[in-house]
Amino acid sequence: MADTSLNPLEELIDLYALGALEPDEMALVEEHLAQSPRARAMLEQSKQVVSALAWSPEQHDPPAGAYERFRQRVAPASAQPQAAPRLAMAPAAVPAPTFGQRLRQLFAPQQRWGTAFAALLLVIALGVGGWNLSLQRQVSDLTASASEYRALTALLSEPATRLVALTGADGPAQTARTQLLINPERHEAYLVTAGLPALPANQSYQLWMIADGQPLSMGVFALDAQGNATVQMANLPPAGSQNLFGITIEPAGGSDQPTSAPILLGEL
Amino acid sequence: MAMLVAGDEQALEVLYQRYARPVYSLALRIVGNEADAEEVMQDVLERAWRRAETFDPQRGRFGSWLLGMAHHVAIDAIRKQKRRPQGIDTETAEQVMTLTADPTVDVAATVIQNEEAQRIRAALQSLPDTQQQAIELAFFKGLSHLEIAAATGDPLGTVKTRIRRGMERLKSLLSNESSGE
Repeated sequence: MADTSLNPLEELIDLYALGALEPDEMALVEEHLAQSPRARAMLEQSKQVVSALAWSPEQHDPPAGAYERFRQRVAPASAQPQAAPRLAMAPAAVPAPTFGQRLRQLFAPQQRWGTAFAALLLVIALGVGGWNLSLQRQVSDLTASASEYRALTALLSEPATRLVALTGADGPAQTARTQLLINPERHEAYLVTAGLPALPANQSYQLWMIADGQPLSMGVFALDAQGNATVQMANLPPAGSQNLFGITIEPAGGSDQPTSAPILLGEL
Repeated sequence: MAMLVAGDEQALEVLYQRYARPVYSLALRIVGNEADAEEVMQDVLERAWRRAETFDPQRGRFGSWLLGMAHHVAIDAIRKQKRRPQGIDTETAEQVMTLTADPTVDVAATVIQNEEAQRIRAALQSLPDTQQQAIELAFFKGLSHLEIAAATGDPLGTVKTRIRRGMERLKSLLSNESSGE
């Protein structure tokens, strides 16, 4: 016959779920919860009631204009870099780039990646499938690439992660859309670009980080059939007081130092 | 790309349309004035928008997660106003609330519709006044049982008993309602 009597700590579980215990009592209950499956089951029931209580207040509409204020609040901050300065270049190594095809699907280049990614996650959360089949397909792709998804999620969750747009005032890359997701603390970044013109076989695009005027190659990269490219950078050099990212057109295979002015440039 | 942008806008609207009202209503019940309630609502919806990745669908419904976050943010706000030392910070609140919704016992998951909210409200109001008061002071005001006893002038043991009996009654009422659907 099951023991239905409660020990004194189990009598506190409802109060624990409500957050109505003092810290010392909470610690005792948590100790008991760690040891007792029955106590944990009781807690789950209590939590359900507590969750339900959140729906119990009389319902009121938010004040007029609240939605517009919300939209303004979550509107992405424009991060447009300054006009491209000329570069002071120095020799640098040329590591092989790493391309993430799944990442490309996730970060289809546009002006509002940060919120678009949040939107994608939110669609998962809200379960609003059906109204956007394309998004669902991308969700499916995300599921298939769980490790990349987690890595990106972790990167996006970091407060130090920033989104930097690379732009060009004129020239062949004027219509390109290029963004850099970068976390200087983790020395990690992703570049995603679309709209760059195809190059002849004897030329390559090359990505540079310029820290305090010293350019370091982040690798050469090729475009796919759609004119897109994704470059993952896992070991960024230490940032300087001024940090620029630029793309130049170099001889095939890349250069030790830039041989032309950047066609795209952004400042971190 | 354009579809993602469209989805961006649509998801934002869906988020607001579905959850602004319950989040605002809960915040208003806790903080007691419209300005602070809207600030809590804006804060919570923004966090949900920007940090939807912290939601774990394996642990429950999005609405429960969101309202749980709203509850902790609002309680945190009034505790800070009172300079209560053991206040729960909002970052912790988010983490905690991912653990509070359980898909296996689906009481909370059934209450998204308004009629379900009314039933929960009715269940709460069906409790004896003293039990309802004790639970509401804990949940909506963030008071500990010691503080409730001090506020009501009742013995500590009495407050504990009222909360426990009220919670037991709510479990019974809500599970009956859920199973009866």
